[in-house]
Amino acid sequence: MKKYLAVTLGILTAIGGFVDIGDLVTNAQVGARFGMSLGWVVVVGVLGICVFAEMSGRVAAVSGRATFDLVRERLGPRVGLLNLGGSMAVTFLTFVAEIGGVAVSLQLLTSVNELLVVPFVAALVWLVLWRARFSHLENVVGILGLALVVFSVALWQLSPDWTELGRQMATADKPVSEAWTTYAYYGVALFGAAMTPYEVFYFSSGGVEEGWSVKDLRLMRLNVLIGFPLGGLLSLSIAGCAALVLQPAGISVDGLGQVGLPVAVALGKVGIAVAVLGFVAATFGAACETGLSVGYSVAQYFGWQWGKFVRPREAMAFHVLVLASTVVAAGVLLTTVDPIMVTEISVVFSAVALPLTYFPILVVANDPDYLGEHVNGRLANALGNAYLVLLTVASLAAIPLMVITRMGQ
Amino acid sequence: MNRCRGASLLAVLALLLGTACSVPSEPSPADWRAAAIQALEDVAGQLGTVELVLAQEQDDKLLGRYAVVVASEAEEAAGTSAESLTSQQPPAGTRQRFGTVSGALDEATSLLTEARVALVDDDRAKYSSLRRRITRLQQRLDEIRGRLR
Repeated sequence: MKKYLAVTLGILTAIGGFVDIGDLVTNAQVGARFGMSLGWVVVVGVLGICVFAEMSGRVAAVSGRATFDLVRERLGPRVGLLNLGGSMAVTFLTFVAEIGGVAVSLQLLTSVNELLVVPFVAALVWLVLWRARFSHLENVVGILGLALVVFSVALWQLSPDWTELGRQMATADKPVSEAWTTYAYYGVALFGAAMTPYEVFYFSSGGVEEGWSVKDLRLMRLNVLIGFPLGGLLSLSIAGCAALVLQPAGISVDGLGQVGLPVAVALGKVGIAVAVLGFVAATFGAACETGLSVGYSVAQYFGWQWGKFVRPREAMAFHVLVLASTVVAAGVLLTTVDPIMVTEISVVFSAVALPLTYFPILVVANDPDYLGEHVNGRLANALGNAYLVLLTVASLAAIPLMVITRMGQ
Repeated sequence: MNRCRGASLLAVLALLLGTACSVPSEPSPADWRAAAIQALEDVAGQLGTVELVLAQEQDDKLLGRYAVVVASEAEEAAGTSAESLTSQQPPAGTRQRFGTVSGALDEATSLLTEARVALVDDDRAKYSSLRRRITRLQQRLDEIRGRLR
C-alpha cells in the first residue's frame, strides 16, 4: 500500500511540478495566436524531456551522483564550464521569471503592485530553500500545482470541437495571417519551454537528495513516463483554452491575467480562484526548483558539498550561492523589468542552451564506468541522438528567428 | 595628430548623440506602415481583453481585484503601443494616414481608461455601453489596419 502511495504521490508531483511560468505564458500566447497548430511541438518537447529525464534519473539512481556532478569528470573542465555557463545563465533567467511570476500572480488577487511583493516573495523562496525539507518542498508545491488541472476542466466545459482541435494539431494548420517565420519562432520558444534545462538539473540532483538507488529505477520511470506526459496535457489545455476564448476575440497574451480569463469564462469565480492558486503554486514551486538548480550546477562543477540532505553548515558555499542568486534575481525584478518579457526571453534562450545541457547527459548515460549494465539501450540512444539533432537545429535557429520576427511580432 | 583625430571622433559622436536625443526618428514609409499595423493590432487586442473582462464582470465571474488589474495592464500596454508609434516622426506622404491612425489610437486609449475607471468604481450600469463602444472601435481599428496593408 505504501509503495502504491509513493508511486501515486511521485506521479502527482511530476504532473503538478511540470508547468512553470514559461509553459503558462508561452502556451497561452501560442494558443491565442496559432490555435492548436503548434500543439505538436508540445508533444515532441514532452517526449524529449521524458527521454533525457529518464537518462539523468537513471544516472542519479545507479551512480548516486547527479548528472552534472559527472560532466566535468567525464568531459573535462572546459566542456564542463561551457555546459555550466550556458545552462546556469538560462536557469538564472528562469529563476528571475519565476519569482516575478509569483509576484504577478499575487497581484492579480490583491492588486498590490508586483514590485512591492517581489522582495517578500524572494525572501520566502530563500527561507524555504534554506529551511524546508526537500521531500516536503517537492510534495507540497507539486500537489498545489495540480490546481492547474482547472485548465483541463475549463477546456472540457467550453465544449470545443475536438475533431477540429485535433486536426489543427495534426496538420500544423497555422492561421493564414501569420508568417511562417513567426510560426517557427513560437515553435522554438514552445520547445524551449517544454525542455527547460533546469528540469533535468533538478530531477537528477533531486534523485540524489532523496537517496535513489537501483531499486528506485522503476518508480523513477513511472514518474517520468506518466507524470511528465500528463503535465504536458496541462500545457495543451492552457493552449486549448486560449485558442477557444482569446483567439476569436483577437487577444494577444502579454500578461498572466489574460491566461486565466478563459477559466473565468468556463467556470466562473471558483475556477479563477483555483487557477490563481495554480499560478502561485506553479511559479513558486518552479522558483524553488530553479533557485536550487543554480546552486546545484555551480556547486557540482566546483566539487563543493551541496544539497539539502546535508546540514546548511556543511554546504555553506551552496547556500550562500542560493542566497546571492535570490538577492540578485529580486534586484533584477526591482529594476521594473517586465517579468513576462523575462519569461519570453528565457524560453528562447533555453532553446539556445539545449544542446549544451543535453549532450553531456547522453555521453554520461552511455558510460559503463558510471552506469555498468544500466547504460543506454538502443531505443534510448536512438531517441537521444535524434533529439540531439533536433535540439541543435532549434538552438541554431532561435536567435536568428528572434531577430527576424522582432521577438514574434 | 592622434589627439586631433580623437577630438574629431568625439565631436562626431557628440553630434550624433545630440541628433539622436533631440529629434524623433523618421522611419521609411514601409517601416512606418508596419509599425502602424502592429500598434493597431496590439491596441485592438487590449480592447478585446477589456471587453472580455467587462463581460465576465457583468456575469459576476471574476474574483476580487482581478478585473481591475487586467484592465489596468491592458490600458498601460495599449498606451505604450500607441506611444511607440506616435513618438515617431511620420514620413512625408503619410501625414493623413498618421492623423487617422493616431486619432483612432487616442480614442482607444481613452476608452480603455474610461473602462478602467468604471471597473474601479464598480459602475456596472456602464458596462454594456462600454462593451458596445469597444466592439465598434475594434472594428474601426481593423478597417484602418486593412487599408494600411
